[in-house]
Amino acid sequence: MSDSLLRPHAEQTYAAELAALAADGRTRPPSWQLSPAAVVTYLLGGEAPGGTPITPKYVGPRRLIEVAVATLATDRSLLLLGVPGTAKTWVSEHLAAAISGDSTLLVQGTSGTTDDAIRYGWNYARLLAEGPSEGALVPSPVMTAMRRGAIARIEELTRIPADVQDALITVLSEKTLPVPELESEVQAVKGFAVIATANDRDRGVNELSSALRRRFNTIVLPVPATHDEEVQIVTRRVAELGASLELPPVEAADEEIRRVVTIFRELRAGATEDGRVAVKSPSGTLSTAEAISVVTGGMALAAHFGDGVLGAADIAGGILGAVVKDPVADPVVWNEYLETVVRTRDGWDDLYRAALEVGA
Amino acid sequence: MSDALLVLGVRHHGPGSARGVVAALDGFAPDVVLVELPGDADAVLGFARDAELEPPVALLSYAADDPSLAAFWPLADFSPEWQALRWALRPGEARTAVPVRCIDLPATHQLALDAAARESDDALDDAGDAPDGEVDSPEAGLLAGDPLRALLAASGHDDPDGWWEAVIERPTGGPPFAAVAEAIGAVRAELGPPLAPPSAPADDPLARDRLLVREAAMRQAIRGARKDGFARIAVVCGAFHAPALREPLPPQAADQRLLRGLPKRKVHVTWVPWTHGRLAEATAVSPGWAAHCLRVPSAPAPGWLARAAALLRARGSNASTAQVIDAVRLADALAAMRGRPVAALSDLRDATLATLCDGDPVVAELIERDLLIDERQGSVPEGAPSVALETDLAARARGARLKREPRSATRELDLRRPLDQARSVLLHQVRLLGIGWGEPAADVRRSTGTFRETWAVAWDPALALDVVEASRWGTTVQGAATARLCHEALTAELPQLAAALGDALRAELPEAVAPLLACLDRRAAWQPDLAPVLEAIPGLVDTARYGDVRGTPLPALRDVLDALIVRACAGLPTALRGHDAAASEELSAQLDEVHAAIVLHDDPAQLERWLAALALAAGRADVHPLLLGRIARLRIDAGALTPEQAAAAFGRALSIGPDVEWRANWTAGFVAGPGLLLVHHPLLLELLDDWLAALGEEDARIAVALLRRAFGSLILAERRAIAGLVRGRSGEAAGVTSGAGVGGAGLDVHRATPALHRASAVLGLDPAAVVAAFAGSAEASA
Repeated sequence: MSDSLLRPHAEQTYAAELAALAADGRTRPPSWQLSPAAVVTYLLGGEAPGGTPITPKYVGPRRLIEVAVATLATDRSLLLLGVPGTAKTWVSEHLAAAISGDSTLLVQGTSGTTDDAIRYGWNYARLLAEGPSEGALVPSPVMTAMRRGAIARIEELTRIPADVQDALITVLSEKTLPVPELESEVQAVKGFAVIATANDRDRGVNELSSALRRRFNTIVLPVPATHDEEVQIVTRRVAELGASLELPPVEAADEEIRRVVTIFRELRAGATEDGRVAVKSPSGTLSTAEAISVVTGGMALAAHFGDGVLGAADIAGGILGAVVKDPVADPVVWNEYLETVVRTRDGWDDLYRAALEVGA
Repeated sequence: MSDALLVLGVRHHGPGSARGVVAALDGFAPDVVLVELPGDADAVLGFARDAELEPPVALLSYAADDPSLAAFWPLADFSPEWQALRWALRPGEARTAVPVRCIDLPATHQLALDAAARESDDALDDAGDAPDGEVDSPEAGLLAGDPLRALLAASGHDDPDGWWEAVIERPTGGPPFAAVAEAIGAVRAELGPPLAPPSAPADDPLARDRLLVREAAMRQAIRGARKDGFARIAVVCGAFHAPALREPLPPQAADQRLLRGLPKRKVHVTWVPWTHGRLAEATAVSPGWAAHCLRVPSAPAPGWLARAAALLRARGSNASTAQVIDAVRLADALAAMRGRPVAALSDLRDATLATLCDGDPVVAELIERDLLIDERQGSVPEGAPSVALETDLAARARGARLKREPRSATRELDLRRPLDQARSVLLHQVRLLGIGWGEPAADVRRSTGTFRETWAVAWDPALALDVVEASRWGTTVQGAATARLCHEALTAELPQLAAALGDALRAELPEAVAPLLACLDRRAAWQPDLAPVLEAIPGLVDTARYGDVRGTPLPALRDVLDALIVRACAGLPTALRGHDAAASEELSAQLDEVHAAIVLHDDPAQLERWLAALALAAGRADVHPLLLGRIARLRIDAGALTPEQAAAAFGRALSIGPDVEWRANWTAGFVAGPGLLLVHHPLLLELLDDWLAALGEEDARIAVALLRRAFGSLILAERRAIAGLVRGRSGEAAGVTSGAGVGGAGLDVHRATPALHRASAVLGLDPAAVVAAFAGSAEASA
């Protein structure tokens, strides 16, 4: 039945791989569907004991995934940090699918998330009819996970108001959820843990309290490691987006994509790719996702208002908008970069001129 | 008891090996211990008995006639060789001491071979065929570049050092010495240099493989010990040599041939204090980790993570005991998952990052160095022979005819004389080494002439200790000063780096210049704040000019300086915003300095860029009026504004400023010294005068208070001239016509005469005529 779904869950799509890995016969922590080593293999790809090939779900440093799995194996909770587009949600979904066989115990954090979503709510019709009772209680995904000894996922933890976040503290340290209305409590079954994700660069929205923070082991997921890898991601996504937005085909995009990625990587890294010139980093994230939108925006410009060829003039404005997020500090960063790097680089004259034009 | 030979092949600075050596020696109970240290170190080995010899220390040997030709053998607590020395020489109550012999090729040959290699390298350099510059030393890392590394890489281990750590340096039980020797023997038989010496070595001693020569020397030493009647012999050497030293030893004749005719050089051998930091620079070892493993081999995690937490707390981060507990659990879980019996450094690193540092690598980096290096310095007993640095210092002092006397004295040096120049360079270098022999008596950097220096010198006998301490930086004064300067540059701020560069130039340390410039460039880019950049520019301009004066132009410095000016210009308009009066005053003084420096720098393009940045800043409303006034003034002085434009700007400021304080601040910035701005531009004076005259009583009081300070910065004659002009203006409307009125009434020709005479002599004019002309003009103006 999953064929007709728009987007099946990870445990549905990769059911065969999970079944093959489950047959490895190694010791599993209580309630785990796979052994820790098998979970790492599931995430990073490899081969199951029976010879079944396992596709890689995450491309990145092995040690990060090992730390994540070891964290969950010690009943600690896991906080995945990273700039947008670094596969935080993706990793959390696959970890939950591999460990509990269920990635659906999910709380989406927003500024409107109430503590009903983390603790429990009530079915008011039954509450009025029966008074407080087990039957009138509506458990949250976290409560369900505690009962089952499964992984609960919380997305965008820092978007949740601080007082609601703090409802997690008891759950994470005492591993119980009191229900005073029923004079009872839910005690977590072994295997329960929380995987939360949060946006690293969106600081200060609802900063985690240090009490909550120290109950998580934190892993920062990095941006793509190499230039080529990132160019490839951007190219693919731009092509997909271009198709879905039904933009007219635009020429010579590769060269401009390469330049956008180069600029973003250099500003993020604080040094030119050849390592010879150090540059300052702006306050914005400059994620791969933003590079994608700069290029798509440039292509729309070129297609509708330009000559149909993506050129420096089409991307200069987008780059400026992505780099300059703080009106005070970022223009300095950008001007320095323009003067020390862009101006002197061979074949980048057009970009330098275009940037000066939009920057003036 | 039968004759026996125990060969312990160790990893240099491996804590597991160190522990294993002690256990093996305890079990074997040798009657002599042979250690892989240069044979001529036997003479100073006795000092190791002294408890005052405390690791980390290094055996230092250097050529008697050229201290720059030197080699160090560092030993730390966790070095197996040190543990062997300790076992043998400091037995405690239960055992008696056991003699120790050093068996490696004596330094007298090693240094002679090094010297020969250095010469042939130079010859290659001259021929334009650059050698790769790597000193070939199988000791640099046991596994670096040797066949074992190739073998491990081929079998899928990407980190041979880690493999060695995990498999050989087992946290418990100690390394299996025999099995390691066998494995390396097999590898060497397949891929490496031969185990036994060739039957006919090359006639030229320089062409022989150094490794084989050294092993021949070691075997000869073993035979010698046997001949001297020792029955139970223990050998502690690098694992790589172990298979070549095992019994049965090959025939003696081949070794003798290999050692025949080796060049010799007179060398001194001594002990010097060493540091963990220096040890880490030279090897792949993390001294902090190795020392920790030696102390707590079986459960390193709690102690290590507790120390990480303590370091974090010392830096103001939260790191509670509860977090340490969680970190230990994570590290142990990781080790189990990665198939290790005990957490390794990488597990602990991951646990520290995830649990104690909230995943923030920046925080982790803060403590990483302290954790891994765990800086400490060893000591040597007082009786140890003096060090190479001392020898070099004595020779240099003799050469510069500077006596090291305790009496303090002042020395005037004229750098145009070669002898004084040599003295200056020596004193500067010694100062950079932290040896308090001489201090510049006047501020050298700001002295008027670049060819004169004044030093207060005094040699306190206690400085001998400083020399010993400084000897860890190198064996010559120049080399050590360079090493120390470069080392300190790694953590220095921008202005200090600029000063260090000047020091390098004055102390003639050309090799320090490139690394310093690299640091400077990096630091400038990371610097979020503009103030240090501005602070660094004047010093660097001085240095660049000084280099030009001394005939050592530094094109690279000019590049860095230009980049710095570009950064300053890019950030200036933003950096000037939003300061209060006190901060603005400081900034204004700094702007003056930077402006003067950039004008001096004599590069029209940079000056233009700077003026453009000033112009941009001048147009901003959120810059403090004092700075706005100052900027307008700097632009006039540089000719970027005509007097008419300046007058317009001044008039605008006086009319649009929100209140009298704002206007007065602007004016104060504008008219502050130096120079005769108001005298030469009557238009400006008129504006100012009119504005002041029109102020009400309350406003006037505020304005006068602010302007007083500005006028206070002018010299007396300037103030007089302005006062005269103002008086003239109020007397008769069309009073002053030209700036020539500087003289004014009350000019004393008699008092001016000596000055006029001197000026005429300088200019080559006739003094009498000049005085006469002056008297004439004074009268006319009166």
